[in-house]
Amino acid sequence: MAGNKIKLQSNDGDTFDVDVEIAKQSATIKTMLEDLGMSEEDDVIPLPNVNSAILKKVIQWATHHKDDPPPPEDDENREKNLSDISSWDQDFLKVDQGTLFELILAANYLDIKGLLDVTCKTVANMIKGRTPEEIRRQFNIKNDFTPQEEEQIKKENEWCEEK
Amino acid sequence: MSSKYIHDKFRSWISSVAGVTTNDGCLSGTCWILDLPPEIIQIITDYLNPHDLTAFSRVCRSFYDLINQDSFWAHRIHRQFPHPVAQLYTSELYHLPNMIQTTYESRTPNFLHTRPESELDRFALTSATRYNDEAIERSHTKMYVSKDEFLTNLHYFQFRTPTNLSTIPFMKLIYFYLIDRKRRAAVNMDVVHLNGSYLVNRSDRNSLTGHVIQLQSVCWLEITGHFEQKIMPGKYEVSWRMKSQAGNISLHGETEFLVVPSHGKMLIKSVADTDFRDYAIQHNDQWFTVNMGAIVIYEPSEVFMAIRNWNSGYWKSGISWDCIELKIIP
Repeated sequence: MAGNKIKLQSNDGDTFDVDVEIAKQSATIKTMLEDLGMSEEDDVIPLPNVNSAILKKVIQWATHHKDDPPPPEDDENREKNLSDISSWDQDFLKVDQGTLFELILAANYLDIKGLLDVTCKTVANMIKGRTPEEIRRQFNIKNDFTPQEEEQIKKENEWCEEK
Repeated sequence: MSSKYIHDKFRSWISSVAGVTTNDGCLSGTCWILDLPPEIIQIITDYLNPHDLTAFSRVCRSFYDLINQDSFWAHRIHRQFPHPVAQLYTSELYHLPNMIQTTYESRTPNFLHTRPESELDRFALTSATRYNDEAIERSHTKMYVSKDEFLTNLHYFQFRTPTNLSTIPFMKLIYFYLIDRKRRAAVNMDVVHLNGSYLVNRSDRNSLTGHVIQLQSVCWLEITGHFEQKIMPGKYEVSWRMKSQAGNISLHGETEFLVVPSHGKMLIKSVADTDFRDYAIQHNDQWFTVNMGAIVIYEPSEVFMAIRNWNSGYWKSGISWDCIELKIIP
């Protein structure tokens, strides 16, 4: 029934009232509601893997995207296109890296394909066209190769650069 | 999961103590990407091209280990290619089929133009005899190559041949085979009457290969060649890239485009003069690509190609050829 709300509870105890239709963009929640018959108004769905700040962002994203067509099925020849992040999503994802990665984990846990895709694309954009050293700096990664190993790995991959 | 509050606290503290190294591969404890599960790293890499992937694998050990696995590349193949193609090249192709021993009834190819002494025509006899639909069905012919044979025959068009094949995940080699552009330039073929006036080898900055064959005027049109590298089993769409001169093509009669694999089903495509005129009207003096149809290869094959038109005595003119390309299709 339209207008139905459910309550989602973050791991730090905050509860959010959300339209069922919006919450159902999460395949995890959809399954809970449909398979487990959790449809009573008073039920609170606990989300032990998501904190309140991230859950708020996720709900904001899902609310904006509530009328999107369902994502295309996964198995046919899709060209991966990086320039197709909408400007709303781009603004939405202007967040620090910690938030971005927590959004990815939340999207994965809640199984929200659209959010997972757009956050992963955003991370991919931070990698594209960069050297290994630039990628390390971007994500604060320590180089744990010895100089000899680095040289060897570079050689190993020479064949797969175009002639 | 630790709360954002703690992360924030930690980060503000860390910014004053830059360069502190923790023991989990991060420079200051705020390296989020290494906390992601491998399946999410895999999704992120779906958006990276091979060049970016190489850089990514050189960042640190855990990325290197992830990317140097068969499963990583098999997954990537499944994400980027239609299901039947992915299924074939990640698994089915390497299973030895049970073929039924059979005698083949000899057949000849229906070429409009023949040159019995050429390799292409000899393989066309084999193709017509063993790889017509009926014979394929009767003998249960399946595409097959053993992994060893694949490695022995492996030469890329665009990439170098790796020297130490045993250290590279097999599925990575397959992935690069799938994305490798299988292309042959017309200038690398045998062109009858290639001289300064009938047919000319010309540089062209819109050519994909640098040089093209331009037909000025000729009665006997004959271009023959083969792909430089062996082609692995699979179904391939054949396309020719060509251009008309100032929108005028005159190729009287039927021009045959032939593509014959040494072990597979050939392609015979005949293009009429009126079709060429249509191309010319549609594309004017721009390069265009014509899909000629498909070939099906059952064992690693040499693949021959030809363009033939010599049955009518008319002069033919007004077209340039750039290259032929094979594209893997389901």
